[in-house]
Order: sequence, then C-alpha cells, then structure tokens
Amino acid sequence: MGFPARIKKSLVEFKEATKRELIGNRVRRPVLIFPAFLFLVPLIFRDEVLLRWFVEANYVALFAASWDLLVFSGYISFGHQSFFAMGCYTVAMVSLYYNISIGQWWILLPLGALMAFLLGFALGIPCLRWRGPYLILATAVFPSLFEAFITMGKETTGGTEGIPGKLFPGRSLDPVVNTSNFLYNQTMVYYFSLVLLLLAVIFMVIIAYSKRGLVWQAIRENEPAADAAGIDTTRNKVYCFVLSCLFAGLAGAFYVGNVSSTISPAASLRPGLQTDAMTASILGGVSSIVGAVGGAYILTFISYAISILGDWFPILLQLRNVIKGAILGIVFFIIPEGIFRRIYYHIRFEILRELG
Amino acid sequence: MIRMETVLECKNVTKYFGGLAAVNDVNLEVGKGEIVGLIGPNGAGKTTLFHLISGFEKPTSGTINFKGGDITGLKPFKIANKGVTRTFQLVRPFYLMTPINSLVVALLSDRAKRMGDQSKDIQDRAWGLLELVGMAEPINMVRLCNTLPYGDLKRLEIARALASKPELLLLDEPFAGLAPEEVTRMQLLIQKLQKEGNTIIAVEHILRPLMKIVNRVIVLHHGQKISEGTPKQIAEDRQVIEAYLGARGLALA
Repeated sequence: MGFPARIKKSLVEFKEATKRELIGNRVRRPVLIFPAFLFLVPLIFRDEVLLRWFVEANYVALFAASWDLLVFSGYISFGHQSFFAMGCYTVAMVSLYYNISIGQWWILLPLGALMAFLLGFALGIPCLRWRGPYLILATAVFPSLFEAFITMGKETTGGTEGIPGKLFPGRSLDPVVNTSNFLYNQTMVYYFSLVLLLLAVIFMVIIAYSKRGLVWQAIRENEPAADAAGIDTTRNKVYCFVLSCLFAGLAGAFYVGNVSSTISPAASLRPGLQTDAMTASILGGVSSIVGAVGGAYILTFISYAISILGDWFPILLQLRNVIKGAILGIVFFIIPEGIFRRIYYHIRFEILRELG
Repeated sequence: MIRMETVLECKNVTKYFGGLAAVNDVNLEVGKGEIVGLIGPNGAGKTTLFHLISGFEKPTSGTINFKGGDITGLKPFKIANKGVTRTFQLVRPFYLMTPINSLVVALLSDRAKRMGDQSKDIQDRAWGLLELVGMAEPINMVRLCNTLPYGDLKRLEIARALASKPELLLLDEPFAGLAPEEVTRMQLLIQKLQKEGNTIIAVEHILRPLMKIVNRVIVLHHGQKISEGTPKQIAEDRQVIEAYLGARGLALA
C-alpha cells in the first residue's frame, strides 16, 4: 500500500509540465498576464466611462463567481440576486439609519456579506432538503419574496421607490458632494473593486479546489452515490450555499455607493444581473470560478462594444440582450464546456499525450 | 454450521409501493465473514431489499438491526457511517472527477476519517484502495471517470464502498454487464475481500459466477423469501426452479 515513488514522480512531472505549458506558451501566456494587466488599466486608459465599465465587470465577475461556486455542488440558483440585494439593502439601510462616518464606510462591506450569509442560511436549511429541479424552482421564488418584504416595509425600506443615493454618506461619487470619501474618484473605486474581486476569487478558488470542493463536486456528479459513501450531502450543500450567498452579498454591498445611486428592488433585484452572471459562468466554463470571472469580463466588454456602436446604430442598444443571448448560444453550441475550461482541457490533453 | 456472530438481522421487513408488496415479511440473518447471495427472478424485490437496508427507502414495517443496533429508516449517509456501504446496480460514478478523487471523497466520510490510518496522506490511502481493486495505474490519477471502461467503473464502485472500512458490504449486481474475463476478476476480488474479513451480501441475476463464491443463498420471489441454503441445496430446490422456470420447469431442469 501507499504511493510508489514512481507515481509520485509522474505526478510531479505532470504538474511541472502544466506550469511550463502555461508560462512558456505564447498563446496561453495572456491568461496568466491578464490579472496583472488589470492593475494597469487606470494608467493606460484615462477614460472615466471605460473605467466605469471595468468596475461593472469587476462586480459582475464577483457575483458570477459566487453563483459559480454554488454550481460546484450541482445546484443552479435562479434567485441569486436576492442575496445580492440583501447585501445592497444592508449597506444602504445601515448607512441611512445609523451614523456611520464616511471613513468607516468599508466596515459595511463585511456586514452586507454577513447578512446575505444569514439569509442564505435561513433559506438554505429548509430548501436544501430537496434535490434536483425542485430546489432550482424554489430558488426562483426568492427574489419575489424579497421584493414583497421590501414593499411591505415601505416606511423603512423606501418600497419600490428605493432609497435615494444622497442619503448615505459614503456613496456619492461626485467629488463636489463628497470630497472626503476615499472612494471619491473612479480610479480608486476601480482599484477597490479589483482588490476585492481578487481576494474573493482567491478565497473561493482555494475552497473550491480543496477537499471540501471535491465533496461538492461529488454531490454534483451523483448525489445518491455521495450519500451512500457516507457524505452528509445536506450539510455540505448548505455549506456551499451559504458561502455562495456570502460572496453574492459582498458584491451587493460593493454595488451600493460605488455603482448605483439608488437602491430599489428594480436596481438590486433585476433579473438582468442574474442572467448576466449565468451567461458569464457558461461562457467561461461552469463551476470553475476563474471561468466565471473571465466570462464576466468578456460579457461586460460585449456590452461596452454594443454601447459604443449604439452611438451609430441605436437599434443595437435595444437588441442588447438578443445579441448577448446569440453570442451565448453560439459559444454554447461550439464549446459547451466554456472558453476557459476548453483551454484547460486542451492543455491537459497535450501534457498527457506528451508524457504518455 | 458454526454459529457466527450476527452482523445483519432483518425482522419481518415489509415494503409496500402503493398496494404492491415489493418486499413481504422477509427475515434474514447474515453472519460475520459470510458471502450471502440474494437471488430471484426479475421484480422479486432484491434491489428494494437493498434499498431498505442501506436507507434509500424506509420499510413499511419491520426492523433492520445492524450489530444489535436498530438502523431502520436512518438516512443513507448515517447507515454508511455505521459500517454498511453499498454499490449500485447501475454504476453511479462521479463522471467528471478522476478515479483517485472519487475515492478521496469517500475517504472524507466520518467513518472513513475515524477508521482510516491518519498518519498516511489521504491520497496515499486512496491509492491503496485503487491497488486493492487492481486499478493502480498512473493514468487513474489524471483521467476522468467518464473515460473509464465499464468493468473499471464497477470496481471503482466497490473501492468507494470499501473506503470507510465497512463491516457489511452490499453489492448490487456486481457481475452485470461484465465481459467473461472481467467476471473472473470480479470473482477473485470478492473472494479476496472475504479473506480480508469483509461480510458481503451480493444481489445477482447471473447465477453461475455467483454460486461459485457464495457460502449461502437466499431466494426471493414476489417479495417473499422462498428458500435459503447452500448453493447446492438451492440448485436442487423445487420451489426455486419453479420460480425461475415456471411450474413445469421441473421437467426442463
């Protein structure tokens, strides 16, 4: 029993070959260089509008990655924007009703994430006893529920009108209104979103590719089999679900004060965000985290291109979602496993062939 | 027969699906270290009985005791963590995972953590399981389960069930769909497992390879136990031949 040295050697060889292939190959090097490039974006492009798109890409990427993390355990949530909205409303309402000084604004981020986590816990425990499509259907109800609660508590939450932006201290991007906010210019907002995204993604990748992640994958691949092997599937699903909610809430908490000027059900619970996250994840390769982030960038720049071209062809702006859908359809048809996963499989295959 | 320590005891186990009794008042005992064959024609309730023992279905009435403790109606993972693991009739591999990782998952169950040799790395132990079922090849570290041949998938199922060092192993049709040489390998594997002290119940349609390795056979028909005995006794049992071949089958047999 045990690992013969021969096997260990071939494993090490495999890992080294992967590294060599990633760093040494001219075609694939951009995949590694891209994150470094992101840090230089504000220096290269001095365009505020473009930076705004990059910020958008970052929070969509964070949300898409959180959605993708849930897919590790095989569950597709159609109501993930409720956790995003929970993050939004937590930050918005706390800053509205409590006297949070501008410098302390960032404290609200973990609070928003924590509230989304708790909401995920409360909804996850009863719902995750179901399996398969029933669970997916149940998640689709969450946003409506959330909206119903917001409308019911109109006096405190602002109802469908939402909470207007000027009320919170840390939110305004206008330097005239709010000069002391450290996030007052778009460059800072961009760096802030980028660091947040990178930290969150690194954390998610570490968890998703750990032993715990393997258990989730096993549940995704075959839940009864994992059950028969002695894995408490419900507990592991809840664990995956609440973590995913945590990051969705973090994305929401970031959204308030940096992207949106008003938090209303229409802004925070919009289905467009949900479909964007799903599209990004499918474009990049479902349940790979990194794929979802890459997909979110691709998607956001498709939107950017549409908005630029929209100046000449206004019809494009109206067909925005049709175009995105068509691109998703084409990619899904040609590379069903997603762009980044395809690259990964390709590298893996080449190395296997090389090593024999 | 030497009196052995009873591992599994089913008392008056009954399962109704609607008005149909899939398993009807079945009593059985399995002693430590035995290989028991569970046979019967199609729809006899063999797999349902497996589902009842492993917790995938709850019995309508009756109790199932494992080593003196009641396990009736517990959740599958709890039963697995008590030491009863199973394989499936149709293999249920983790298709998009590597064979070694499928075993690592199984080694992460509570019982496997308790029983396993913690001084060893979990990958080493997974490798040990691959060796046990004869799949210890470097390729199984990197390729995905969806590229494995069917015989390997079957053996991987068994390895996964063995990960938590179970005291009772339930094999659902271990020979179904295997090529003749794979059948022989599977026979040898099951015999090896018995020598290592495992107690095994095997459901099977294909009687020839099964009869060679079992100590005792239980025959189910229409959900009821109609016969029990050594393979030789069963082969000559009038009721069993009738169940398989019909009332006039005796003349044919």
